[in-house]
Amino acid sequence: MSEARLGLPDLGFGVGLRTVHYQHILRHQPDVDWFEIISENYMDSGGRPRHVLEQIAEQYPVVMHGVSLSIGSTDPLNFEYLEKLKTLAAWTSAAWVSDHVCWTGVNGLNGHDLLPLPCNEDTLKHVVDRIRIVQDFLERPLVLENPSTYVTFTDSTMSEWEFVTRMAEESDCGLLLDVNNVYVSCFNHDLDPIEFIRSLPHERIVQFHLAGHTHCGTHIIDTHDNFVTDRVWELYRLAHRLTGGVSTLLEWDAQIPDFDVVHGEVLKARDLIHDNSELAPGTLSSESTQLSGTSASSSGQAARPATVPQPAVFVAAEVE
Amino acid sequence: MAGQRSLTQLQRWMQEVITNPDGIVAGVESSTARQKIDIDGTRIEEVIGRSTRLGSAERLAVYGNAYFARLIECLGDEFPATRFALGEETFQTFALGYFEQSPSTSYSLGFLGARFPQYLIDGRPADIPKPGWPDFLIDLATLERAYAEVFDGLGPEKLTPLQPEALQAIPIELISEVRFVPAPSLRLLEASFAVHEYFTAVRQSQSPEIPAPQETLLVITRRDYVVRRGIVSRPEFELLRAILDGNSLGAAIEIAAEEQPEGTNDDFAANLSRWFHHWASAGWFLNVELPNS
Ligand SMILES: [Fe+2]
Repeated sequence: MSEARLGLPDLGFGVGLRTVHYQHILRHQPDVDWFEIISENYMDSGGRPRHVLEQIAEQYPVVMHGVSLSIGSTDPLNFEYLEKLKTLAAWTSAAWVSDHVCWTGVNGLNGHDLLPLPCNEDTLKHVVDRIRIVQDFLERPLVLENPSTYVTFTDSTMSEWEFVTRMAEESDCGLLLDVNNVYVSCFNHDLDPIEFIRSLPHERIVQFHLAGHTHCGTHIIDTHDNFVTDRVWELYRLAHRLTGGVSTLLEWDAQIPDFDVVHGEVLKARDLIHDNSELAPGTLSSESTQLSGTSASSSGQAARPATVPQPAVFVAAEVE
Repeated sequence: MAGQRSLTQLQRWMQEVITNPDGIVAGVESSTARQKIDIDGTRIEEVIGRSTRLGSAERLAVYGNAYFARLIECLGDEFPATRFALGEETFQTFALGYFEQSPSTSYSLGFLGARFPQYLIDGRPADIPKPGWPDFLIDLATLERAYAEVFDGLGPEKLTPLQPEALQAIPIELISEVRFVPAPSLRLLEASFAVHEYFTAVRQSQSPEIPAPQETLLVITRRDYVVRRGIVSRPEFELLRAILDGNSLGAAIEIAAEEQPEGTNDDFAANLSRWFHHWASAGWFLNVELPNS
């Protein structure tokens, strides 16, 4: 495998599709390059989420991003889930299907979290075997993302970047590089995010994620509830240079502001890569900016406690 | 590495530890966790490394704190009125008990609250006379779960609703054999309180009081992807219930007529055509079928 991005297209600058923005998108058809959907929120839908997605998939490229594949779990793979994933990918004409290098539960449980794996030979073999099975089943490459993590295992025998590189090469899968997650995990584990990003197989990176986080002093939590920070923008520029540029997506999942604010944030990435000047501190981050028109509360969403990492995306019913 | 634990062992241990409601150290020291990795709370660093700023237990606590908080938040999004009625703290206590008994086993958060109304029913204090506040909470949670299921389940939007002429086209001698085909979203809900009004008041950011009991017969359906609800009388409700149970129109009318007060059967007959028209215009049914059509 040598073709960049597994031969998958560079879709430009996209936004994660969230229910609070449905009306805005359908009404104004914003000039956004593409949307990423949370697969699990649409796989079983027979209601408005599916109806909205049908319209959006007709007008925009769509990428599917899952949170429950649990590729690293020692529970058996769920083929009913995979069947639904495949069906959804077919009717949305998904450009690709992604999930995370993680596990979400064992003994039949789903904790709805992206739990970390020990990086060693046994785990590597386990994960690579399962990626192959999933790719055969889906008849397409899987694209896997580095999650934000909060612990390391004494049973790890290699770095996360070595693990991810070998995993991608041995299973022939693609990578979704979440630049914010690199920053979060490296802060939490006393690692160098630049070394992390430099060490990856850049030709296998299909997509970038950008998001905001919450700094707790002793550790950082990946909350997706704010603007992207300056340090993450710097890492993004490095990643862009090393990959030659790939599809870039902004995730915003709590205290979600108006669509234009979210879209504007990902467009900073476009401006940044076209501007070769040095990044002056504080030029990009807008963390002190007042969020106007926060739409989260109007949908009945409660404010997320600032200590709860992603993912937790629930679709609330609309009742007349 | 010699002495390395298996991935199965690590995952089962970590799940036990981070889902223990009493915290990380209690989780590590629980018998279920010690069956996987036999260490006490002072030896967590043998499994989980520390960082320069946080110890192993504190790092695991990021996952532990998030586990219940995330699920409770999602449950609260699905049951906003029940959460309001209970108050934040009591709702959390109920949710915690629910998740300890019924942890999520699905890839989707859409099923998270499916068993919550039943959990409330099972835990109803027996010494409080019916209908009391526990029944209000049960009715309210049942309503909110029904709304969620109707909102995201199969709906009538791409199907043709029943036309009034369809019923007129049935030969009069066969009319009692007719079976109504309901829209896939149609639900009936019998409550002891006007929980639909309470729900609406919470959604409108009012602060409603728990109302006095009031028999409430609801028809829940969906139109244009939004959940709709209507109130019906006891006879109409019983007729709808008998129809949804699969009875022919004739059999359903017999069942429902028993709910009519003595000597009012003429009114019941007069109401039928009005109800049929309303059902057709409200899109509650898709079609009428004869037994061998
Ligand atoms: Fe991400």
